[in-house]
Amino acid sequence: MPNEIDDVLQRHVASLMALPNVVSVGIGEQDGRPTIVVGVTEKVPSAELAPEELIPEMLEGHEVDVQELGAPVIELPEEGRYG
Amino acid sequence: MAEAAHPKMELTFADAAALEDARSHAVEELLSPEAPHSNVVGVAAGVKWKNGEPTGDPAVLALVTHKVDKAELAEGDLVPAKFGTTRTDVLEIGFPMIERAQTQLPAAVNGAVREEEQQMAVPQVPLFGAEALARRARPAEGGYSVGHFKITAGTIGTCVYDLLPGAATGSQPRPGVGIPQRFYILSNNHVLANVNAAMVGDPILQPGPFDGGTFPADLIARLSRFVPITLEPPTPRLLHRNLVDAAVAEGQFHDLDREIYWGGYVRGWRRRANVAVGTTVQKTGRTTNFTTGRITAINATVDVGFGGGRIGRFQDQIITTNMSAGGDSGSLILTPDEVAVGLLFAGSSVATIANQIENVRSLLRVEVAEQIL
Repeated sequence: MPNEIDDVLQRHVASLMALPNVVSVGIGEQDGRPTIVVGVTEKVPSAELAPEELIPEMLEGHEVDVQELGAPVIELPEEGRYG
Repeated sequence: MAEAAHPKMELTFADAAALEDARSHAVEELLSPEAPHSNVVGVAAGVKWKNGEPTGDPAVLALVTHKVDKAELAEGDLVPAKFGTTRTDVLEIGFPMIERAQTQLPAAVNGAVREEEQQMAVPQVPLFGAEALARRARPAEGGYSVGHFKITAGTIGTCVYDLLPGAATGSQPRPGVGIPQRFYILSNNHVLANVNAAMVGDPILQPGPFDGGTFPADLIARLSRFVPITLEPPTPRLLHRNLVDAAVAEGQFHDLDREIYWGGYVRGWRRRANVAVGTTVQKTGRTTNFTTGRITAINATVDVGFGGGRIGRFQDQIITTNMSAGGDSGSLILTPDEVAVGLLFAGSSVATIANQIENVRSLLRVEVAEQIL
């Protein structure tokens, strides 16, 4: 069982990462239970998105947690940060 | 006239030699760590002053932050009038760098010195600052600025060596035993190898060029190897299999210290399967110094900007709450009890991204610590 959520995640990584604003997917935790965490540059109201652009709320029985992550860049001074 | 020093301010060689016994006696007594004298920050050989005029008599000088009325001092804090037969004088020098005072002030004082001259002799090094680890250091520890000669600056994670005989990676990793042949700085590919653009043997500077490091004065190591990063463009990110942004550069053993500034010794490293969400972690880096955070996600796939519109997709990453800023790339991420878990390489305004240290060890084939914890 412990690896089951990893398998679920791996099956959906590519399709989740292809959604608009999505910059990361991973395994997080909520109330002691592992969840699938989707990082987005910014949260957008569902109403502004086409149905096929929406992040699912559940994936194969596992909760999906959407978190604002901004835009990750390599950590160099100035040009790295804003490059 | 300006160059003609007051004859009574000068201390001859013979005088200075005669003072030496009294001076070292004064150092022992006034600067004793067991019984420090209030306000005394240094001891020097000089001449006695009286009523603002040098007398020409050799004297041992007690250097103090500020003069205090005898009545306000405890008996043990009084500077004795004489050491043996040598007179003493008290010279007010304000607040120098306390931790440097004992080594630098006596050397700077040779002969009689007036207060304003004394203050000029104190090095004007900022005590604090957001970029305290941007300075040159030998040996250099984890946390200090470093960089390939064509980049800006990143951070030394720690120092490592080639896997030793008997070491294993993969499903049953273990440390080896033996005699390391080479020692390296561990940091990111984009810090030591300029995002795949560097040549093996390229100079690595400490501090990095952005912090004033120049070749050859600040050469600390030369690029040894790096794990290439696949980027879009040209490669579509669906095809990326990046696990680490990591490189090592070989330096001389005496220049490299694997201890982490403020963090301490790396006791061991943690297998990727045992890195857990919710764990508190810490790092020391060139820009944000010592910070802590919490792991919010593992096994993460993350798209990271490399500048110029280039994106690298990384798998099996650790995401933490924000604990870094530009210049911290390459910092080692550890648990509060000094177990290495990750190599920091990217971040946003709300999060920090790190490679699993197990992947860094396997792909670069370097030993990070002698225990798996």
